[in-house]
Amino acid sequence: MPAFEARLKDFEAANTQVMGISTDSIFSHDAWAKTACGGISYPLLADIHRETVKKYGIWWADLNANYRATYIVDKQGTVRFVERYGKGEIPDPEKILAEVKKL
Amino acid sequence: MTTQTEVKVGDAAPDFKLQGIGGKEYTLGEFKGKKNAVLLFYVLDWTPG
Repeated sequence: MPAFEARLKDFEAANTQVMGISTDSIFSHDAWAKTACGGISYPLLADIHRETVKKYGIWWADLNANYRATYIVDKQGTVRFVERYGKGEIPDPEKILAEVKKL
Repeated sequence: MTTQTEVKVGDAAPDFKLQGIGGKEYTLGEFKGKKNAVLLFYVLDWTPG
């Protein structure tokens, strides 16, 4: 997540809004964003009811949490890129930025 | 087990309305026609990534 913060200006230049979503509460987000990450300025959203992760098909029933995944949505609201991650894998901002620039 | 349908490339992205830090609500729909969006679904705040 801090890796995306470092490239936020490049996403903004590509007319793209970055948002983080997880099933943690907003209070947990706040503590995490301030301490662990040295400040995250893009929105971190709390899907505490698991409605959004279920809509995207990435709800992890065993943990009542979500899988790691990245979606790129274009201006028309169409999904243009999907990447899911296994244990220990994280999204690469350079790769995601390159995909955004293709739109 | 709940059957889930995975969102795929070419699908209409499901809209959402979620609260961020500070209580501000965000929707995906508010960017329609204006901006692309990158949605980073991540797991458990205190884990790396």
